[in-house]
Amino acid sequence: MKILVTQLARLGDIFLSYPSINALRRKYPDAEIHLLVREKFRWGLSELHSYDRAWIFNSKEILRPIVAEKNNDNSLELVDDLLSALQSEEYTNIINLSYSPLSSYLVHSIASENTQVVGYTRYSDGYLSIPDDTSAYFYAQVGVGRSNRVHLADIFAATIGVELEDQDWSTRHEYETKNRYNEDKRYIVVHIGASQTHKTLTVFKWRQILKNLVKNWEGKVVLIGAENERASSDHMMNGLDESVTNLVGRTTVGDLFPLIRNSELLIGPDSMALHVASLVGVRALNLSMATVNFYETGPYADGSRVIFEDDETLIASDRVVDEALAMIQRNPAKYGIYERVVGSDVSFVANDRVVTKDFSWNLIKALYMGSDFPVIDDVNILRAVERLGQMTLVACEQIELIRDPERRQTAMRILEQSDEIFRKVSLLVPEVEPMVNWFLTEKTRMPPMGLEQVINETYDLYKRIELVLSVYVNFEHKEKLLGGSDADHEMG
Amino acid sequence: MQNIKKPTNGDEMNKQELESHLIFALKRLEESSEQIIKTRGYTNEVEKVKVLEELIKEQLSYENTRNSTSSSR
Repeated sequence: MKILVTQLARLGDIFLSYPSINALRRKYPDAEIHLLVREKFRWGLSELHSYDRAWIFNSKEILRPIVAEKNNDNSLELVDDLLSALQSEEYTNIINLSYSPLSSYLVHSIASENTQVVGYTRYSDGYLSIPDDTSAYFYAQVGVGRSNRVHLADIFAATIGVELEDQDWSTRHEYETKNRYNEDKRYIVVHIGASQTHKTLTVFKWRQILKNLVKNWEGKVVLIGAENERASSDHMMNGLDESVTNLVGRTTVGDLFPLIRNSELLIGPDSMALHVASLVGVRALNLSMATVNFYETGPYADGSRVIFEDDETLIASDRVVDEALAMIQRNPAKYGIYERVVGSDVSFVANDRVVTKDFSWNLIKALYMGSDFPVIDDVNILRAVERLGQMTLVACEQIELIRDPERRQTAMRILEQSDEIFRKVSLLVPEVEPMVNWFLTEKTRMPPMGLEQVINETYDLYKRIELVLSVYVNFEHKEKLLGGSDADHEMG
Repeated sequence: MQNIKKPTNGDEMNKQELESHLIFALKRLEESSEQIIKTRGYTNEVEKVKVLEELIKEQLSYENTRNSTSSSR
């Protein structure tokens, strides 16, 4: 068995892939496991111990002929060199954890007829192919602004087909001994940076938090961050006493693991340091804003907490410090927070001071996990599902007409419009987005086939969404449904 | 945007210049892949071009790299 795992995302996703790759090795101890990662993030593999070979996708090198010589052919040759080398490995399995168009073309190029593929790939006609249900779930439901509440580490594991165990959250080194930064004093690590500036806080906000932390925490504080964040960290340090050690731009990835491993707590924005903490079993306090979906990429270690607000002005420094100290003292949360509770059906559980809107998440659970469908208590949602019901009836009628060559073109145009109306309904009433995305994703997954089969499969798919909608919409009274919605009448 | 430098003089290209280079290259690649698909269908050669197209799109960041993938049949 020879397996290629493609992980072409950033460092955070590479760290979040560690447990799944470790579990893959546990499941297939004799398999040869290769990885494909980007040159820029190859150092993210430094603490992974369960692979045999890393292949590097060097974007910069591939694009250099285009940029420097305006020569597409030389870039294409470099793509060809990489693909040929990977094809010659004759992988029995390819697991694509990248979920991107680029990776889908790469995977299809590398796979032979006998390769088993999970994750995005391509059909023989170039259309996107999503062979497994977990990747289809990702395509339909995962991302910023969506309602998914399953952690990305668990989605990776499900894509690979492994069950994560505690032992899978491990690194090459065990880091049992105290490190050089410890100096026999307890410390909190604060990560001030992130891969994108909109994911972290401003210098002003960090400074407020640090000042407050120094005032209330008897131990030390260690700042970490990237080289390009050094100037910001110097501003933050201004006026702070020696209990704060500034290591921003002065650590390697090798330093981060022991440093975080021996800390009391990590405080940080949505960034890779949270995942380092999870890998070494340290709890983190994640300061999260609406630019990410913390349910997917928050800190995985049990007991970690998330303070979530739409923007940083709502993240008060005393709230951060109170929460950090409560975590260290193992006290319950003082404010509205989300807590990582292993074994829960969501990656983070909101405490009773947080008001959550759960309809969309409950809809996802009903569609994918067999839960009961949520009750609609909002007239706009009711109106939206009735619109979807109307479009489903219209689409089913048009599918029948495709068989008639004279009416085919018009029918197909109406069907295309039906997809558009589904999308528009979900834009207007985002609560129904999971249902629309599920349906449109299933349409996308249809393989190349003859016209008759396309007609039948499409009809079956509309019947599936009709079945889902029938929880809310009465399809037995078609005329009434097509004539106008009950909600419309109620609203006058 | 990746920081790609000219090997000729070592000067860093400005972002706008780099972007226009990439957009021009992408246009040519898209024309080329469309042409091959029209004449020979979806071949290995097209797929190689598609890899490069998508890599350029990622640099330009004008597409959602996760879900800009396909329409339905």
